[in-house]
Amino acid sequence: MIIGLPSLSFWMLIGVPTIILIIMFVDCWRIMTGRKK
Amino acid sequence: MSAHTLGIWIFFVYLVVIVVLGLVASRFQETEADFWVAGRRFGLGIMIIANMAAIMHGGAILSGVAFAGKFGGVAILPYISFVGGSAVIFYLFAKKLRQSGGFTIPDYMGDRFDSRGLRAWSALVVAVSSIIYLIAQLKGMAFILESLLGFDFITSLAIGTVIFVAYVTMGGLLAVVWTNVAQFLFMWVGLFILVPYVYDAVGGWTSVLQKVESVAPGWTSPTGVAWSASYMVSWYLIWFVAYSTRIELVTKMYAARDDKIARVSVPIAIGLILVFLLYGNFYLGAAARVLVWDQIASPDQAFPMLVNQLLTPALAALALTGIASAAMSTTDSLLLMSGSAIAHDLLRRCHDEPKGIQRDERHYLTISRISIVFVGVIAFICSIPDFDLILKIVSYAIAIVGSAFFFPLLVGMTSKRVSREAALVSSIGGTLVTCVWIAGSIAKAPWAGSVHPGIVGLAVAGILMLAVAMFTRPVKHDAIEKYFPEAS
Repeated sequence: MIIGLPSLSFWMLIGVPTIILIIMFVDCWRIMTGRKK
Repeated sequence: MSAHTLGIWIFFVYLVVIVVLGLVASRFQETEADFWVAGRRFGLGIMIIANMAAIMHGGAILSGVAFAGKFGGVAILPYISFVGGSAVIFYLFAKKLRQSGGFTIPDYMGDRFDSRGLRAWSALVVAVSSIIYLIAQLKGMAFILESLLGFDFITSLAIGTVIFVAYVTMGGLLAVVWTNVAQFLFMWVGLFILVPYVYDAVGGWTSVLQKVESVAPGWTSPTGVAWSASYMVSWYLIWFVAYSTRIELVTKMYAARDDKIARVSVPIAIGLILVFLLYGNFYLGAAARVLVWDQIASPDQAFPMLVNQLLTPALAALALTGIASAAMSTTDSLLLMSGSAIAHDLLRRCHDEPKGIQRDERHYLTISRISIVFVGVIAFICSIPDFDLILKIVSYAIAIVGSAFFFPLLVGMTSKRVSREAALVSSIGGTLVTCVWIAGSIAKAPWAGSVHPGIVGLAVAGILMLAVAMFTRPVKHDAIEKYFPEAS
């Protein structure tokens, strides 16, 4: 049990979108610095 | 001063602020582009706020706390759908939409598939779905003002409609976004007041989730206390499509200063919304389930009850009025979209321009404003009777928009092969099947109950697009050049 959330699948429901979001943030940085068209 | 009087004063200050913002924004309106896409002047900060306002509002707190409190874990449902939908806009739609230089989704449909029929059909879908949504939003706003400020229903409805129509008519998208900033400030003040009091009553994340699990076993599981896994997955899918085709959000891409800003604004806005949902819906929903659930008659009362129980009367009035003020920040976007579908897409692009009728920008600015007032009057009149049917249809409106636009947007942005006929048949066929399925669901027909209308409509739209594209010729190259500039 991690900070009160009892199931691993619950964490995946938060974790998977968070990872996709982080990938998008990295691409945002690449767009703003001109490294990605 | 009583708490009720204080609430009314705060609401009055809010009304004055947004009308003044509308007046100031009206000074910047010279052309149709100024009105519908704010002259494409938005920088990153304002784009992030505009995107957030397209999705979240004060009503999202009230209904979100009710939903999370009642069902539990599935309230985390929007996460995957929001992020998936925003990834589609970020990677596939934003850049091409901004570079295409249009104003609306019907502009995209008409230009990309070189079809006046598709433009008119899309304008019809946008206008009808936005007006239906608008009716539900106006009714919702009137109920909130009625219950929180003590006005009667018709007075609340009239105040809300007149104010929204007034500032949108004056200032167009610029007024919408400026007032969204004001609404955000009111809403966040309301939410932040609550933080120390809720923390004091239920503790942090670990504590509140352990407590809620003990009073409602299963609350912290992904499916919550009432949903099945298959029902949950079908909703993930529907909301994913709904968010990648959310017209309020997709249309904002046209208003960015350049395509980089349009793209980058999407994930940042979604990230902030997810943080908001964790606190504003999930944490407060759990707290409401622990603290007030056995004292309320319906889940909609959860948030007001939580506030009234934890705060002093004056602070409760401040918090609730702040959130009620921001209750309907998507209403103005809906007014703007249905107005643009009538004035820009139907009158200018489908009627005047094909007939060679030349008019100046002042004329179209006036037409745009008249169309907003027209939509406002229709929505107001339709909000007065107690139409249960409209509220039922609203719950399916995302399915109609999704089946009309998802495949034409997705395939049209990624493949040059798709034909005008394929887009037309897919969009109309998918929408009609969705409408038939919705009618079946509302009439409780046995065949319609097993699967969500949006899933059926999307499946039909996808199959039709594939089948028709195989036997028809792609749109000619010069029409699609602005969407595929690398090929020229």
